[in-house]
Amino acid sequence: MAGIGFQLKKLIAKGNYAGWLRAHIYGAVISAGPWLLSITTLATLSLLSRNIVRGAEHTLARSIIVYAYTFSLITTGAAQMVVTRHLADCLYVGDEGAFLRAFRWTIGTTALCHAALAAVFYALGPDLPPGVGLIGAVLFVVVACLWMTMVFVGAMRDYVSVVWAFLVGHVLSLGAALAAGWHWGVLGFLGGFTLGQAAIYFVLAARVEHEFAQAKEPQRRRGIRHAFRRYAPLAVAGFFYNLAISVDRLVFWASSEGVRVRPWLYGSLYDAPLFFAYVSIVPAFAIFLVNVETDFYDGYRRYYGVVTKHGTLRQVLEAKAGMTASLREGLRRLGLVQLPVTLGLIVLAPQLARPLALDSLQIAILRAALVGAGLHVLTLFGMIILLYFDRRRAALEVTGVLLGLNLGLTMTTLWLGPRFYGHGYALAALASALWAYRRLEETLADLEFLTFASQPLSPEVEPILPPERAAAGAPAVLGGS
Amino acid sequence: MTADVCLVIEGTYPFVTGGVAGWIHQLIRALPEVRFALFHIAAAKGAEAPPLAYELPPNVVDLTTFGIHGGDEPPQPGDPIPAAVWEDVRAFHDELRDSKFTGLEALLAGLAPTPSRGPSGHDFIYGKPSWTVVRALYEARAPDVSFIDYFWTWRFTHLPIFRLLRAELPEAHVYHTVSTGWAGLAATLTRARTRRPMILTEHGIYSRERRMEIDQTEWIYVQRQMPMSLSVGQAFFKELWSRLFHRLSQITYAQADLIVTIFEGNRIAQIQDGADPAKTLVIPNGIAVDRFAALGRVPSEPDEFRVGFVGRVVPIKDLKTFIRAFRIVAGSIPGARATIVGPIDEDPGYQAECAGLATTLGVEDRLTFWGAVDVGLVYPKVDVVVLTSVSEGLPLVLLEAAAASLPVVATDVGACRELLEGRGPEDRALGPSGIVTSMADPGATAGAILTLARDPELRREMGRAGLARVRAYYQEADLVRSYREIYRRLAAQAAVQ
Repeated sequence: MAGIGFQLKKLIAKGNYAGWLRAHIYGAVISAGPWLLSITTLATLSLLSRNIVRGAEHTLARSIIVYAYTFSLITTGAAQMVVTRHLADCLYVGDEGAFLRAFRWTIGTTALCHAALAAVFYALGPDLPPGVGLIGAVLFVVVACLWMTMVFVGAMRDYVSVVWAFLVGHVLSLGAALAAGWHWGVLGFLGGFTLGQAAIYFVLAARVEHEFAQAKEPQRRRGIRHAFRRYAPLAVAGFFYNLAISVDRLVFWASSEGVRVRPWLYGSLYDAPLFFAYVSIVPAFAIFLVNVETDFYDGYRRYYGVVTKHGTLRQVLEAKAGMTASLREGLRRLGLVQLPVTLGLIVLAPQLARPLALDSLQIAILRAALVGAGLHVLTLFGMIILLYFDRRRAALEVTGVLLGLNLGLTMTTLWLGPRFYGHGYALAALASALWAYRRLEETLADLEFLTFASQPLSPEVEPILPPERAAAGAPAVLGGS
Repeated sequence: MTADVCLVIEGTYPFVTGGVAGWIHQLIRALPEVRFALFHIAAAKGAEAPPLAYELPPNVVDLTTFGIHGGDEPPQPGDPIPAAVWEDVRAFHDELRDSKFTGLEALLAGLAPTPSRGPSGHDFIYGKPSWTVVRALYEARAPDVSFIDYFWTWRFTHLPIFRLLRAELPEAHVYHTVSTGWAGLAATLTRARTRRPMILTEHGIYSRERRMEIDQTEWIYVQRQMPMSLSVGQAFFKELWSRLFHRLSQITYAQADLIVTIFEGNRIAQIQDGADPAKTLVIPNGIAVDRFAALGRVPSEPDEFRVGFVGRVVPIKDLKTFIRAFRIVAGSIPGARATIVGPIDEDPGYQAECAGLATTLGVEDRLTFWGAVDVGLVYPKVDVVVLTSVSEGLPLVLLEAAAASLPVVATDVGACRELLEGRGPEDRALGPSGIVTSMADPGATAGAILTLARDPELRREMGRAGLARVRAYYQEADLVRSYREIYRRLAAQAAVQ
């Protein structure tokens, strides 16, 4: 298991600007890479495929792919969070043998559940060309399994494999979709795309199987099913978060702004500006990943090290101050880089209309969404840090605020009219970011109390520390499609 | 129905046999007109009780068991407590440090005026206000020791306190605690809350016994998953534990209306530990002297010399010293035989070690473990009774031996010297009834046994003195009369209030 933090530190240790920059580009690639590749592939496909699959068929194919991504993210949200935590617990007690068992159980269950969901969904969808529903279902299952596999590869800290697998897989998806689409129309197009996605899944699954093939026997402890009962708030938080990041688009699809493709397939003018806004926060991901993997994680380990290795309270507080300072410094750097990017894009938005093929309403939405995405990323980071400190309930609150407001305010903006489109998301992100910030400040202010006084008296409940890196891999789940 | 007397007991009667348990049983049976309620504190989880080791006399009207250890506190909300009261809690720790205990009533009135009021155990263990108190105490008193160890030591030392704050003792006119420690605290809390009279009878000095145990302990506490020996600062945490028990004793002494112990040496120890001398009193243990005086003698074979050891086979009795001493005696007197009488199942490992030692020393065929048998069958068949304990209160075996007119060799612990040589001048005038030796000294014990073995006249003389002494000072009837009188006086005093 290659320590990603170690490699990043090696890059930074060169002590010059180039090293620093390379570390952050590296960070951006590994944190946002798979997701950027997915978006790029979709965009490329829609551009290149116009002459291959035409009109309604083109929209249908696109919708099926977007659906697979959007809904599989929502349906795997709970499991992603709980499995992430379960793996962190296993790593904490050195039970790597449990990985493989957990992996197989997770993939089996995910595949079964999503096959059932897809069967119901496509069985109810009328008027689909023969085979399209079947391929749609397979794609849905494959992508869901892919998200779950990413959790395992993320826990292994093997982001590089993820990026390579996605790069190769998407090139394959692109090529196969275009080639097969040329010969067999929409069926071939979807089949080719699914093939590439399946390739990503199989490469990563093989990676997990290979990594743990030699692992020792799992310890006889409670397995992953128990984790779902024990971490119920985490499951809800995961579901809320993944639903929250799609709910505004779903609201638009269902509104009068939505574009009906088939009786149940939609899209809207809201989608494209949102995707571009998401792309704008790649720098924040890079800064956050580098900070969390290097300075913050060092400070975090030092803090819990001092706690468990019999430090005095003064030493504990000093370690806390160091860790807090690294967090604030990370936040400052993040602002320093992200703020000019976001502001610059807001100012330059009209100039982007032509290259991005957005109309003037979409440019207005883009501007609001840029603000929203900037705040959204702060929410996400706040939530991840909260999970580092095992503040599950606080994380749940944050996701609840984001979900509730994004749903409610987006509906409100639809009622208020086009001038307000996108402001619902921005306000929801602002509120959840503030909530996360408040909870984080409370947590940091009270950290020593939480660290000591929340430890249960009886032995069987939990380990003394919040398992390290409880949120590992979480950056990879922002956005989607 | 309100009981006359509530006995507050820790880890003994009616579940575990032993000296103190026997004493309690004796007291209850000898006062059939007094209605007793028993409040038993066990080092167990919750209230599950082991089987009874004694048949409860009919005048026991209530038996409540209470566990002070165990697992997690259920998240149960307690009463909200004003910040000023939490500050009182902190300030009370300063009072304790200065050996002042006057603030207890006021503190309880603010914090937990009745067992069902105040913060819950969960509040204390996990709550922010009690964290603030712990942190303030740490910063003021021990800022340089490991905090995680301080914190867990606080939890483990205070969890029983938080539990006992919520313990509802049976309703009674008089509370009688048979030790300090946790039982003392339970009685003290009731005394401070209800103003009902409370007496304390200490057989052994609780805080000193705990200190001995703590000094011998390797592990002060076992932390989950990583058992930890406190290489750094171990002495500090041992001191914290010892001091806790010392404070519990002091609090109990301060609240008790009467502080009774069983021999003079203990009374002096209590006064050294902070008991008000005016409240202290010695009421020695007593036995039914005539029962033992009436035992006949089974004459020994010619050249035979029979040494008896009566007591539980546990390390505190230091049976190994007895066996080593007997080896020396056996070397001089070919006809010497030893009989060990007492339960051997309490510490089977120790019993096996002792038997092994006897084999190693080559005396295994002259030394018999009889197990727990009626001592009435034993005394007629021995010529001298030996006690090698490293710690004792007022051992019953010495009273019984004296009543059976047997000379005694005993280590200089607890009340042994008082018992063998006399307490006051009149008592001393009766003459010695045995020989006092130093602790853990097989040579000295053997020397004393040999002195008696070689001098039948001295044995007879000491036997006579012993019988006279127990007749005069250690009659069960005297003990019963004293307690009957105390209960009556305190109950009357309570009625006046």
